[in-house]
Amino acid sequence: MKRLRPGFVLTLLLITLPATAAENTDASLLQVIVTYQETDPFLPWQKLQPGMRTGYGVVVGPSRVLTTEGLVRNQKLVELRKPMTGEKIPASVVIADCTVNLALLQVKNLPEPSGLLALPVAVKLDRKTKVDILQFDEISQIQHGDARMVQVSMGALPKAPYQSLSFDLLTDLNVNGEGAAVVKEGALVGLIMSQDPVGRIAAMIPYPVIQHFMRDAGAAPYDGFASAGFLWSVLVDPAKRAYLKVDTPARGILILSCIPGTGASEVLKPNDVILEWDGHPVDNMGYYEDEDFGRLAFSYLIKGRREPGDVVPVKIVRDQAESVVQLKLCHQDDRDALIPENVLGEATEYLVDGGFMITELTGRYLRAHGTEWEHVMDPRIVHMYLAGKHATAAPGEHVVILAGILPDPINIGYQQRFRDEVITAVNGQSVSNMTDVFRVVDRDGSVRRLTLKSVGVDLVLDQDTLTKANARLARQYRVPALRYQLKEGQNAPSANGDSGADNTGGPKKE
Amino acid sequence: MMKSSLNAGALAVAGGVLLFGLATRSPAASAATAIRSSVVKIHVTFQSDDYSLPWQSGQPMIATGSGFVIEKRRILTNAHVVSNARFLQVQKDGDPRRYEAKVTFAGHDCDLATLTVDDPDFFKGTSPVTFAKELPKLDDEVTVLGYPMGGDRLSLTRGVVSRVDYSVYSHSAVDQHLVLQVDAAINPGNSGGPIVFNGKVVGLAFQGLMWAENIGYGIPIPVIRHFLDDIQDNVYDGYPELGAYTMDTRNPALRKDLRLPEDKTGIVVYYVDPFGSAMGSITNGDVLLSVDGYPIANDGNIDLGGNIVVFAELLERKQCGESVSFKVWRQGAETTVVVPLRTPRDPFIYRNQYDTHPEYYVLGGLVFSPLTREYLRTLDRRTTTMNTQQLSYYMDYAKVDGLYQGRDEFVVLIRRLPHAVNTYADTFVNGIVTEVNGTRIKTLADVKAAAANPVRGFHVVNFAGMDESLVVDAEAVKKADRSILRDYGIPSREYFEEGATP
Repeated sequence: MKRLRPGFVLTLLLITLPATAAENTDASLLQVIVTYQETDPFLPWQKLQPGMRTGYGVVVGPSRVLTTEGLVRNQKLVELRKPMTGEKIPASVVIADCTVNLALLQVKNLPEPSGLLALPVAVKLDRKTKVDILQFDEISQIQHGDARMVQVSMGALPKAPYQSLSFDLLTDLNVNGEGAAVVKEGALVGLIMSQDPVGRIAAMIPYPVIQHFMRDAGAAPYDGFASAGFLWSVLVDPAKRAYLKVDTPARGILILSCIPGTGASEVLKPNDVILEWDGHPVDNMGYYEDEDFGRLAFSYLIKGRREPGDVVPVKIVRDQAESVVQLKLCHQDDRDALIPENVLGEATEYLVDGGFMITELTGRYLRAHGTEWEHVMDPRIVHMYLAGKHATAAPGEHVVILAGILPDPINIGYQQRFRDEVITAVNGQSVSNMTDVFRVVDRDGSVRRLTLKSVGVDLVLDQDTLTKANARLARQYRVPALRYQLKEGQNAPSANGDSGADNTGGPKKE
Repeated sequence: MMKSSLNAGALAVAGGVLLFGLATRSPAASAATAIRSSVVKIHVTFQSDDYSLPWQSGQPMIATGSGFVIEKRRILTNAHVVSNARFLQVQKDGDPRRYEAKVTFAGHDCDLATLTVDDPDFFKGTSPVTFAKELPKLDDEVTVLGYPMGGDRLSLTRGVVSRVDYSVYSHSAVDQHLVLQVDAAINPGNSGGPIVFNGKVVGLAFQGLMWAENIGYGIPIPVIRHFLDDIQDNVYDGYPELGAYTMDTRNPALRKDLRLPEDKTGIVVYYVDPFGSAMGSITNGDVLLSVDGYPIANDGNIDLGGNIVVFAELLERKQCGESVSFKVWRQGAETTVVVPLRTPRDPFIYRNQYDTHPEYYVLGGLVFSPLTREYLRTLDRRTTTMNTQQLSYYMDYAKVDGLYQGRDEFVVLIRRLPHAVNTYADTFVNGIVTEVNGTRIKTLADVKAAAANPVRGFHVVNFAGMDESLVVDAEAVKKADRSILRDYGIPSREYFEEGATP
């Protein structure tokens, strides 16, 4: 990000901020320096080039620093730096949640006296007042910028396909790193997560989300944010309202489908119309009137105002009759989807046997094929992802694929032909996730035959030479481990959430 | 003045080439020049339909190609030269007259077409070319005649046969046949001209290769023969499709699994096309050991009199109605399977469409049309949605994933012509229609039929992969229909090909 013009900001600073408040808040801002490294999406046993990014964190408690999840994603080393110093203090990630873009850091060996002050998190903010943005300038002094709130919405996060409460700020400051603190009257109002320098708009993770996150992070286990588990659509079209015989004017959204295993699937049906959610009337675009923030997408009533496990009353119309159902909210994990996003780029389970690279399909794997991935990838798996990534037939179902074949004498004849094919069975046993694959392979000792979707002949491996072939493959292709399997309960150590749909037309997910 | 001087320059060059050809006294060259009176220039005005506005066509375009006179007062050329022709003329070398011509047969799967000229004067001074009996060999010197860009008169280029291969014909985009690769220059305008060896036609120039040099492709004599034989009964049936997808059996473990003895070679069938000739007689897991007595190697090749070619090439020579005999290894035993080759009737193959207009039906500003490769091409790749991607999936996997079942074509809501009756229909555009007013949709005609029976006063349309229905007020649609057609300049609310109208 570009550096701002210092003179301009200083002028603003003099006008808007009392000196004492500025000194207090200045002692809470740290620069966060992150070295990160992602797993190679194509060769999951190795990693991509490491990189470095810098941003900011705010001291929120003893040895506790709050920053954005996007900043520390795939971190290998996190270091903190105080203003006007060169020393780097190592820190570790306590918890990171990509569904709200927040992360809590623990400072390892803080030298005493630290000179740092914990900043309280605001509980209220007048929409009309001005706020102050804090960051480092080029010689690592604290730099202040004036900002004004212009919009509150459930907005899309910059680095993950989830929606979260977001405040848009209008500012002349060129924000030079995510996590820059936004303060008002000595309290933390939010963290900047992205900026559009042309429109001078910066998006901020606001204090209600931070409060929610820190409350949850303070009491183990971390539960994450709630979701309901259904796909819905706006219900504006008068013809459709008349067809469905919904006569409440300008109210109600349409249920399209429910995700199996969620609270919604127990009490809602497709074509139900939701009139009220948790005591709030919902309009035909899916908005309600929030007591603090005004008109807001009703998903905030789920993600912001409730916790997983809460039961909420939902007023619906079904076949012209109104009723109230009790819906139990849950925490949906990314792994619950048929095709998880894996936005965090975590190592995916895989098995390399006889050169067959067997893994599960993820959104990350698809997108790793470049900007034209929708066209260059096999249209079947792209369609599975775009049209039904949530559509599990049974809990835990995923799409097992033969991602490719590492050529070796043992797999001669199969090598060029099969790539990104859906695997339906291993050794004659049908499989619906990698756990099934590992179970079959542990039982039989190896992959004997693979059955691919719509391929009427199994791919068979010679068992007599397989052990030798695997050793040769591991050596030739430098595969340190031919198998990577997560231990039971090892999934999602960092609160990897499930995905909502995009902001464009079509179905939306709660 | 400018124009005529340019013509004079071009004439001089063409003349030079011909004289040079004569002076060398190469037997190949002099025989080739004897054919030149039979090589004609084809002037075509063509117009392609706009598949996103299916009631209208694009700008008329002018192009030229080549062709040559064959027996029975016909001219042979490429199908792509005369496709979508609105006006067609032919011209002989050195004759200023242009004669109006018409297409008698077009084989879009093999990119060949025959023309005829009504005016008897045209054929005076021409003589039908003689076709060679067999393919030329590698390194044989061939001459290409035609009317390529860069001049008006007949042009002649020379090179050798570089390769005889099996490759996709870009005109249909899906069919594969034999091709003759030569290093003689083949340029736009050459299309349809003869490739001559020893005074006999061995092929017909038809396509080049982008980004490559000295690679020109010709349609070789077996493919030309196949086409001319096919149309002898005045109907073009096209190539029969075997429809058996195979993989090789080089993998020893696979061979063992198939219980294939050491001394047997062949390829194993892993998918049988429901519209192919093999359906019903060949199944998954069958190993094809030989075809019409020629043993098939583990990589799918056969030895055809010293030429190693893929086994499919043998099928190339067959006509619909004939049959092909396979030795098949099935469940541990050898058996003989005779596959009758049927005339292909496969609506899900998605060849490029020519000489036909897209069918459509407009209801309340909603335009329905069958899925075609042409329509998919009109879509912007940069704005891929679930709906547009689904069209690619349905096109590629129609048969393999059984998506075609219960349908004769995929009907797509290709566009919304905005009007108050259809304001909320945008999310459904490019969806594949499954049901209209409770009726399952097999063809576009079903949409029209179902539109006559609204449900409780509404038209309700369901789409593949979508949980939501499109609902429009039937009475409002009825009122708006005429003005929508008028405002958007649509001459007719529907177009159905002959015989398809409900």
